[in-house]
Amino acid sequence: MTALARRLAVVPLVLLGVTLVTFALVHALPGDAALVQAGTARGASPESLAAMRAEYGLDRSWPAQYAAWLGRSARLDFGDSLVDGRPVRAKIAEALPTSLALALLAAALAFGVAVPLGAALGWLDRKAWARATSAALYGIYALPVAAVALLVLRAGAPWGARTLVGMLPAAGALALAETVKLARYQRGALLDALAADYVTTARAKGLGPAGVAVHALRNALLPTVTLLGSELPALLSAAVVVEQVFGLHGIGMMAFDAVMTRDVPLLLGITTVGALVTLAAVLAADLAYGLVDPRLRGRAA
Amino acid sequence: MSAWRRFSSTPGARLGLAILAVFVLAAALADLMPYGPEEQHPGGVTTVLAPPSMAHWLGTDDRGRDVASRLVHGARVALLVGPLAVALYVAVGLLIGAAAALGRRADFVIGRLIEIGLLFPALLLLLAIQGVTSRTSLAEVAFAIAVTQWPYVARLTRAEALRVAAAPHVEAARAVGAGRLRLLGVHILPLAATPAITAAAFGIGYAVLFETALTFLGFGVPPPTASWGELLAQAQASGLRPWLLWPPTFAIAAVVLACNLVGDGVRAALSAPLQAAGA
Amino acid sequence: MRPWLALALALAVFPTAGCKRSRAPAHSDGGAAGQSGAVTVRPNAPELVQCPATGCPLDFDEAGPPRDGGELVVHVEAEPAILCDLVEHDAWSRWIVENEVVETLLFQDPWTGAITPRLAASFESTADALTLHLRPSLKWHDGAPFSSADVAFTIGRARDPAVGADARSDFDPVSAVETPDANTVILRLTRPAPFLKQALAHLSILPEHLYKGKDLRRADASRAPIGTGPFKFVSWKQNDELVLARNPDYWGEKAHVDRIRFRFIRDKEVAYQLYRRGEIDVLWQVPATHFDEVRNDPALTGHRLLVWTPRAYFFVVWNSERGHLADPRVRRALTMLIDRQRFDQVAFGGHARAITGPYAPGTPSYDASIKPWPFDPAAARKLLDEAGVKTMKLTFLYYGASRSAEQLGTLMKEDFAKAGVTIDLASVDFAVQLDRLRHHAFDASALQWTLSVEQDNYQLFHSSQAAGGENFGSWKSPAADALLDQIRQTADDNARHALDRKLHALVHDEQPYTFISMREVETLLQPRVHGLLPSQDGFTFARAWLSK
Repeated sequence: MTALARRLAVVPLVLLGVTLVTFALVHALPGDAALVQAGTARGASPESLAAMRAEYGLDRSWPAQYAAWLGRSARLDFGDSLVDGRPVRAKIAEALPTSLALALLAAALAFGVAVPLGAALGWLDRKAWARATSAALYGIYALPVAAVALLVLRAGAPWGARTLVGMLPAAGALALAETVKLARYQRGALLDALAADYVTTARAKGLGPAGVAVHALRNALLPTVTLLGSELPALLSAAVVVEQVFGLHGIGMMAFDAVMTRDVPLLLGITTVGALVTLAAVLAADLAYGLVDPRLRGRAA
Repeated sequence: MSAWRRFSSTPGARLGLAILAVFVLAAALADLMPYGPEEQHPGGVTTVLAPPSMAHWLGTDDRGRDVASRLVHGARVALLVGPLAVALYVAVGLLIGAAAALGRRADFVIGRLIEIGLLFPALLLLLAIQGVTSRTSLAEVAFAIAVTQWPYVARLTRAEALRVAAAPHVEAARAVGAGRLRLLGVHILPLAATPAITAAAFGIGYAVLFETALTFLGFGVPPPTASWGELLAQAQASGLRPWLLWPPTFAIAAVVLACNLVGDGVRAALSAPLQAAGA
Repeated sequence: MRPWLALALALAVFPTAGCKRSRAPAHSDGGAAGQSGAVTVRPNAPELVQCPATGCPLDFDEAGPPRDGGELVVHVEAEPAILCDLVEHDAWSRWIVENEVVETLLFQDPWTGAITPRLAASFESTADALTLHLRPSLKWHDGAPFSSADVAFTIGRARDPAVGADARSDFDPVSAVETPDANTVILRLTRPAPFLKQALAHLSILPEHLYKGKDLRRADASRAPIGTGPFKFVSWKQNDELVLARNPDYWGEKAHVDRIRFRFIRDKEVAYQLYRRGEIDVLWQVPATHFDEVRNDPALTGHRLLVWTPRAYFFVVWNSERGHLADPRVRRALTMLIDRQRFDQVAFGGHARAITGPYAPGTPSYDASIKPWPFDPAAARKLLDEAGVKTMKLTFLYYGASRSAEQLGTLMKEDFAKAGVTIDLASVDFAVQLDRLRHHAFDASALQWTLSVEQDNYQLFHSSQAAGGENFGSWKSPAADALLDQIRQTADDNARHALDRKLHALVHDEQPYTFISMREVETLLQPRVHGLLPSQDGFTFARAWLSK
């Protein structure tokens, strides 16, 4: 079995573990879906709560509920959302593309700006103004995403956009902090690479500045590529705030609501789908290592 | 050159230390501020959400509390939660990530561990803790941050560690007979730590911003504790009043800047062994 | 002196820049005595309509005869989960569909409480029966005929304990629902049912042919409601918008606007920005932090700013079974330690009204002579000493995302400490708060209730409701029980209102709740919007129209 296949074989196990933990945690929380829906309204009575619980399957034991969910999800049927009875699959299918688009746009923006910016700042590190720019970036990083989002919205950005272009301001707001961080990583990595001995050797061999730059950059790209694998999921979850402020309906907000309303099937569905996306992203990043540094090719798995 | 010399000769590293020292001092002497951070009727009269004035240099918040005082006291929370969380997740992430260089099998296990870490529902865990204890203390916030962040550090470290492990000087050391643990501790770890250091430098800023989001959702530090996150949450809720938004932003920026400058110095201090070993 | 008169006089005495007009009381739908608010038109600011406690004038304005056509965009903060108000309990999200698409048998004026016909063209009340004569030849939006069978079906579902409808207990006095013919419904009563007509004014009738044998939550009609109202349902995209269109075949006075788009925007600040951009026509709640600046904003000249008070009150519920909290003196002392005026200032910018009991101020059930317990830490301390309390430790449970609850908590923390009472603030999520309330696992908690025009307080205060009902504080008072039982049996309005006032006095004395305040709301309307008035039971969308 190749390394890749071995890695893929473990995925169901990982999913099982994560969904089990999620299930356990949500049931450990006080309150359940029936209670939340009844709210403080007058109509709730022990009978109506019991009826709701029976309808949602919440009156069975935990192992029975989880087993039932497992059985259904193996057929990719995640059940119905407890809040409105719509199929979980449909709700996720509505929200996922938006989240993915937002995260990918944000990642593209962040990398697109951060890599050249960071590399430039690293290359020109001895210049005082480069250092000053580096320092000023922190001001941008320190702004909370929601504040940035509100400022961008105030400046006239569209709300509730459906197209990729319309989502650009939102993606930009989301990407801002990410860009600063990545630029720093890139700069740091380049500085290290430039100080490394193989660069000294290359210089001694007579390689011009451009050659040295390319050489160093290739090595310095590694952390950046690594981040691609992990920042995408991070962007997916950090998007909750941006989603809310810009009126984009992604799985970030849906997941948060699912926890608040104790909507167990929806939460488990989102966890599973989110996990698959994350694992795919991580795998893609690991495979990309092989492209950046041939020595690591075999390590992809 | 000793490590300290390498550190202090890095431009900005000493400035960074100085900035951090100022914040630590401010946090320590916070009680000297003219108004208490929780006083809702300072001086008997209060206006709510008042812009900066002679009486209140940074204005008042939505309950009439002095913003300047809350800013300075907020440094305590930032300097407690931030470093605590960062220490936790950098230590864990660094060790786990570097261990991937121990061998193929270790790498496989570490890779899967990191994946599980990335998928772990930290918000749920935080809620579960809060649901049971009815409050979120500083320690819990720090723990929540650590639980979410360690996989990123681990991934970065792992990638660097693998790359460094394939470098010629490490091969050389291996050929000479250095044991795996010695390889890891002396040759690989210091170099693989570079991205982790950057992560740590941003960590404190990230911790405060995470805390802002939590406060906004209602799960932040227990009220009426003063924190920069709480000021920012108020800024968001009040339509971005400038005296609530900019002071904590600048404070965070200054702290993150300082940490990054110090981080540059630390990286310089650590990278010298490469020169010594490689050339 | 009647409130509106006082207000009009006050405004006449204090001149404001610009001209102002006071409107005379006008005819309302309910044919009641009439009410009015003062309308102030100013040159460089929005037109201000200050509605008194008795309500907003239902008939003022409007520049010219109503014009047909146009699309009205309304901001809604809380999106309903299911469009069926028997199972959707959130009062603030139901009104989109209630009154617009689906209708009730009777109509209740949200301010005066007067009951008038709607789907029931007329009705007769006797001691043991309520007979309703439905309008003949009415059709549902899908063409099917509306009949008494639909009414019987709906009431049957409302009474089903498994459904958990809010109206369930209102039908307790009903022993049978008879439908002798397609246009008559007779409700047989075992005892007087003073709240029945009010309940029928808030029970949307469901189409039996679409719900029979189906689960209320899952039926298609709960996602795409079919009704008899002035608007038809068009579409609903979750987290986005819900669209209604004018029903040209409506049996009554037809609506004017062609379409209504309800946009769901959770963040009030964002909604406010969108309103300023002109993307929303009706902003029904201006964020509290912008309350004052909006009143004098020249950029909003020509817009209409309605200031009104929904019938809802914010309060602290004490767990009357725990330790010292069982003693009414202690509860009264704690009330005197809460600076309600300061809280109003902090949380609502001072835009709130005081309330002292569980009835709507301005109605006959509310005893206006009762004054709130003053904020008096010294007196509170004396009371505590009297009750034998040296120090006390309490946990204040609240929904963490509620800013005002947190503000109340921190205020209480500071003030209580001065009297030797320590408060721990426990911020939790909504589900946890509900859980703790229903299991009585708390000391004090902050909540908000909405009030009917005449509130039936049985479920809130009767001792039988402590286990499984809304009596979260487990307050058990034989005197209150007697009053509540009697209220439910008293058909004569005046007699019943007198009993309500007695209950008000008792509750004020014993403080199972500390009543904090009723917050004021500012609703903004774009200049082109006319004929639209708010109430928490819904807006007058059927009468709204848009000028060019």
